[in-house]
Formats: sequence, structure tokens, C-alpha cells
Amino acid sequence: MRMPDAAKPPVLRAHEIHVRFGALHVLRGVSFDLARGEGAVLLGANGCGKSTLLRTLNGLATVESGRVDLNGRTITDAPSRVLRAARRQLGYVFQHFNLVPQLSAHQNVLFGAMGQRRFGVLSVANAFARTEDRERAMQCLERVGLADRATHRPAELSGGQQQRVAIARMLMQAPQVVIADEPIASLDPKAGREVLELLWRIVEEEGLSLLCTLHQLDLAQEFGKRIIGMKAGRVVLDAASPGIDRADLDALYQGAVRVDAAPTPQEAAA
Amino acid sequence: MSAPSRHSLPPRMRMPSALAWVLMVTFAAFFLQGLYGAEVSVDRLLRGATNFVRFVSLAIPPDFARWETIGWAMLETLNIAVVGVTFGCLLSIPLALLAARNTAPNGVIRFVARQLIAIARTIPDLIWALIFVVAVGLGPLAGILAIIMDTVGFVARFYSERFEEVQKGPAEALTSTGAGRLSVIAGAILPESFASMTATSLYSVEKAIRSAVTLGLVGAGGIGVELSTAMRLFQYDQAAAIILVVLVAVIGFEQLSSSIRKRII
Repeated sequence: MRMPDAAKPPVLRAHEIHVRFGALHVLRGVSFDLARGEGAVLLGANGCGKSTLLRTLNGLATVESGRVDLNGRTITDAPSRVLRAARRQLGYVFQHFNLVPQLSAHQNVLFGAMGQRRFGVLSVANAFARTEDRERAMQCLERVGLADRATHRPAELSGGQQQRVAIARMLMQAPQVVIADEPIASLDPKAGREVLELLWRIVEEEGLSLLCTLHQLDLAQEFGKRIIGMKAGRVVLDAASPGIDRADLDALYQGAVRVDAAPTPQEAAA
Repeated sequence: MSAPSRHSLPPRMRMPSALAWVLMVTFAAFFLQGLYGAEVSVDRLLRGATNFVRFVSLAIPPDFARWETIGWAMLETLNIAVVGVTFGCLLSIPLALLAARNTAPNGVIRFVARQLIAIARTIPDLIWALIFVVAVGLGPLAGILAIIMDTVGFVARFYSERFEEVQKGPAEALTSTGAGRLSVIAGAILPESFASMTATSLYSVEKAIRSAVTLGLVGAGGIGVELSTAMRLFQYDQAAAIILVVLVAVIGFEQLSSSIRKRII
């Protein structure tokens, strides 16, 4: 097995991240590294802070302290130009797909390149987009097996197909790192498995890094070479997947798992 | 018959609160005072009915002898409405973006934008017309400016409420591709709002045609000028012709706009 090169800086690094929403201390010092080409699954019960962590990684949520580095460059509290440049390298796949409902699958995929073009939406709107971009969007749809659905609107597609369009949009963005926030939680088991296989295949073919939250422990062990476990705003498990005991995974969902139920460090010390 | 229940019956009505009593009494007093102030009397109503019959008898048959003038004036009214609404809707888009919670750059700008929209809406179109007649003189320009203000007050508010209702997801997805704020608005928020914005804009054309007719009464161009002249010269048959033309134009456009709205929604 090829080990990650220790001398090379990780592509994504979270360092001692704290996030607070009012009185709620949501992330309590979260740190981890993600190497180039590494695929990790993030596990944890609802309310443990997984989604907030993912949102801090591309600046959608505000960090109280700590920092996120992308390719060795800090993007936390960076000027908006730097943050936008970093976001281009972080492809995001959402639980609810987040396609623009009024636009075709092809147009939604084209929008993946929005951040890369000088004139933003004007450069990627179907009417003005360069032919090579329109062709590349079509190729992305082909890779997710939906070339024949290019003119369909999201409402005319199944949930699994919509998520595949979202994956094609991520491909169009050509990122280095993929962040997938419960990408199969809205899908039935069969469609979910297909989407997960597709996502993993594309990530491996493109040599991307992937951080994916899941709720299915079996799938997590099957797909993730590494599993990061969170409980009440902290990372409590971070190990290579084959060596992890199932009981350790089950423990992530037992006891005080939610951020709003767990005692604060001060309360715990008292 | 069954025996009466041992329990007392629930009251038929709830006793209104003290505040409700105060409001009801105030309303009744206001209503009576209004009626008294209008000096309603049987004698006046009878005389009014006689005058109305006289007006109708003079107005029928309507006199279309000046059909050309009336036609041009009606066209001018439609022009005022369409030009005014077009500019009004175009101005409303940026104003609404500045006023909507999810698109405003900050709270101060949002507050200012909302106040501007509120001012445009609170001042009635006829008063805008009077102001613009003073500013730019008699004629259609004053009417167009008045319609612009009236449209902004109404349309910008609807647009901004629509922007605030759009789903957060698509905008967030575009933001996470590294797109700028304007691109996110144009790529996710405007497409989602488009159908409802079109419906609002069409409705505002209907509304503008009706107000453009009355704006002529204060000299802001259009068919209202003809109507007010005919009425003042007691040429009720000509006035009737004008009213009929207005009726046909307004109903015709309402039909057209509602069929377009049905298609896009």
C-alpha cells in the first residue's frame, strides 16, 4: 500500500477549529489532515457537528478560532478573493443536491465553472458560454451516465439522477478536494449505493481527495479507507478503516453524542 | 326528548375584550360621523338619481365622432403605462435586491432601500403626477414618471419578498464553486424568482393602465385629459365614448395578461 508522503504538506488541514453558535459550542477543537488522493468518511450522530465542520472548510460557516489550510495556505478569515479562489478547489456535494430547479441539467453542470470564469454567470450561462465549456459540461454528464437527460429539469429527474447531476457539476468545477455532506441521505438504498460507487470511482479516477459524511456504517467501512469519528463537537476516532472495530463505530452513536447535550469543558472539569 | 345535560351550556358567544369594545365603539362613532359629514339626505339622493338619469340620457348613444382623437389619446395612455412600468420594473430589480434580507450587502443599505420603496408606495400615484406636472410640465412625461414611482413602490416590494423566499440551497451551491455575489444572484436567485416576477410585472401593467387613465385628469397626458375636458364641457356622449374605449382596453389587457400568467406559472 502506498503511504501518504509525510514530507508533502496535506492538501487540506483543519487545525484546532472552534465554532460557536450563540451559547452553543458546536466544534470544540477539531483537527485533521487530508492527504492528496485520500478518501475519508466522517461519521457521527446527528447534531455532533459534522455538517458545521464541512461548512467551515470552505468558509460557509464562520470560525471562532483555529484555521483551515488549503495547500499550505490559510483560508480562514482570508480576504474574499482568496476565499473564492480556495472554494474553486473545494467541490461540494450536498444532501439535497441544491440544483437550480428552473434550469436544465446541462445548465446546472455548466454552473460548476462559474467561479473559474472572469465574468461569472455571464461566462457560463448557456447563451454566452464558450463551446468548449458547453462540450465539457456534456462530457461531465456523460461520465455520470446522464448525457441523455441534458435538457431535463431537476424535477424531471429521480433523486439519484439529481445527485449525479450535482456530481457532474462538481466535476465541471475540477476541484482538488471533494466535500460530500451526506450525499446519499435523501436517496433509497439502491440509488444511494449507486451514487456512492459513482462518487468514489470519479474521485479515484481524478485523483481527488474526498471527505464524505455518511450514516451507514457498513458503507463507511466498505468505501472509506480512513474513518474519522465525531462525537459532541470533537474528533474521537481517526484510523484506517480495515483495522477499526465495529464496536468503536457503534460507540459514536451512544451516550452524549449531540453538541447541545454534552457538557462544556468547564462543566466537565467542575 | 332526552333529559337536559347536568352541565351548564357553553356560552353562545365569547365576551369581547375591553380593547375590542373600545375599537368597536370608535369605529361606530367614526362611521356615523362620516355619514353625517357627507350630508346624506333622501332629498339629495333623489336629486342625485334624477341627475344621474339625465347624464345617462345625454350620454346615450355615445358619440364616436372624435374617434381619431380618442384613439390616439388611448394609445398615449397605454404608452405611458408600458413605458412607466418597464422603467419601474427595471429599477425595482436592483432596489429589491438591496432590500431583501438574503441579497442586501448590509443592514444599513437594506434599511435605506426599504424606506425608499415605502415612500414610493405610500404617496398615491395622483400626488406623484401633481408633483411631476410641476417639475416637468403638462404631458405624458409627467405621467410616465408618476407610473414609475407607483410601480417601484409596489413591484420592488413584491420582488424583494420573492427573493427572500427562494431556497437557500442552489445559491449556497453556486457560492461554494467560488462564484461572486452577483453571479450567485443571477444564477440561482433570479431564475427561481423569474415566474413570479413576470406575473407581478404583468399585474403592474394592468394597474398602470388604470392609473394612467386617471393621471390625465391632473394633466399628466393620455385619455384622462380628453375625459376631463368632455365632462367639463357637458359633452356626456363624448365622455361615454371615452369611458367605453377605456373599458375595452382595460378588460382586453387583463384577459391577455391573465392568459400569459397562467402559462408561466
